[in-house]
Amino acid sequence: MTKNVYTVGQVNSYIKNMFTQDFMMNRIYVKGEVSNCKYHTTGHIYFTLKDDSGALQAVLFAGNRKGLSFPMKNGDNVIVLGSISVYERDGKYQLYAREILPDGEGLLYQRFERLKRELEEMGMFAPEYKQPIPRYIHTLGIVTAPTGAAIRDIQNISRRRNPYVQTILYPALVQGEGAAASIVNGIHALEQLGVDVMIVGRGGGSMEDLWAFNEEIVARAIFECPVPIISAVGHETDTTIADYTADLRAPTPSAAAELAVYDIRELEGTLLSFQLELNRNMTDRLERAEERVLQYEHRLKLLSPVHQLNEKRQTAADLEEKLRVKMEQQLLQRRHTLELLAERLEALSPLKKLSQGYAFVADEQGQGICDAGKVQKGDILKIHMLNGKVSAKVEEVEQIWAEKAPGE
Amino acid sequence: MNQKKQQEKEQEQSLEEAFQELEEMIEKMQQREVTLEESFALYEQGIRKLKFCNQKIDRVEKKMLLLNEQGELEPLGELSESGS
Repeated sequence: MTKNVYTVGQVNSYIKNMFTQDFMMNRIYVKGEVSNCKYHTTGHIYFTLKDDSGALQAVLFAGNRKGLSFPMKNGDNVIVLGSISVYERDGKYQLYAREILPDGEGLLYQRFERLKRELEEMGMFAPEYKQPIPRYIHTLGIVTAPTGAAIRDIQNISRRRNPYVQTILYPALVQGEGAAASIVNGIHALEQLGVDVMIVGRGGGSMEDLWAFNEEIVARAIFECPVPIISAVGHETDTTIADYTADLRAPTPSAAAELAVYDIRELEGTLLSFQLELNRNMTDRLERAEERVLQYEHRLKLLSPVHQLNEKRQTAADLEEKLRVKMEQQLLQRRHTLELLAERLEALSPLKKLSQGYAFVADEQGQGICDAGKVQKGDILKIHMLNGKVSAKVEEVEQIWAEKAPGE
Repeated sequence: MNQKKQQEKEQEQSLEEAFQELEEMIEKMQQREVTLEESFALYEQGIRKLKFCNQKIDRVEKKMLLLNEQGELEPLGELSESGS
């Protein structure tokens, strides 16, 4: 047997190699209490993790500082994610931390945040993957506990809004050991049965109570389910990973039922209003047609022969009246002229002269005599006076002038 | 045959799609230039569509069912008040 002698460096290097080849040592969660915590000026943090049984050196290099999101101090209970390796110079192994989380409730929260970030980066919360929730459904699948407020609320609201929708419950374990698997089974079973929409959820509780809805298998089952899923976990303020991957998040189970089950009375109202609208439009259209018919009827009446004839009759009557009036005017005017002429004529009448004491003298033949020279003694003269005539015998003729009388 | 196809198509139609069609019909009826004959046709179509919607609504009351581990459906008794 050959005795091999190794240098310190060789040994340390060999041991280091053993650590780096160990799968578990490369990614390990270690929990303990922080002591000897030193924040070095270089940004590295050196500390010791200890518990009742012992201690472990640890370091968080400045490059991994984003893995620590709280001000770590001595006495804190933490969980450190990192790798264990050898520091060859000192021949000491230590924990190289990548992430440091507070233990307890805080840890759950950190796990939640981490999974949320991971799934979000995978695009599982992306709106383009959200399926629309059908409005008018026949069957509603429910994955929740068969006892408790959640299922009762869903049943009551569903019944009140629409008793004709078939609800199918998959009774699932919603907290504790096996809850996540039970929820996943429920989603698959209802999907296989073929429901229109699913509600997956439970009533309120602590973060641990709701934890199943933060498990990756539940989030994935919801994301991958071809049936649209409404999540309803806890109260308004509780948001789980399941809520982010669901097609729609309801703040409570009651709200989920309101969103999933349409109100039958509302639908009946919609149908009725459609009916009324159709009727009203048809009536309007008919009334419009009727109006046009009346219009045409009126126009046609105006163009009918009877109407035309009446129109002409009226025109004839009007003309007749005009003619009559004109005629009357003419007559009146003529009468007036006549009166004027009559007056002038009267002024020139011989009878008028006779009435003033003059008389008209004629021979026996009735020829007027104006010339005394034409009368001889013994002639018979006829003297016309206003109210009669006289026959007279000429006794004597005396001619004053020989000239003829004017007008002879 | 054409009508049969039409009916089959209608059977697949959802209420939402039917409502959409009704909205379109009503809008068309309200246009001035639509003839009386077209109006009558639209009205008839609309009434038929409404009848279809009414038939589509299943009016049988349902009781909640329970889907068990074996994938069978069974009636669900009254829900208990206790539990989480």
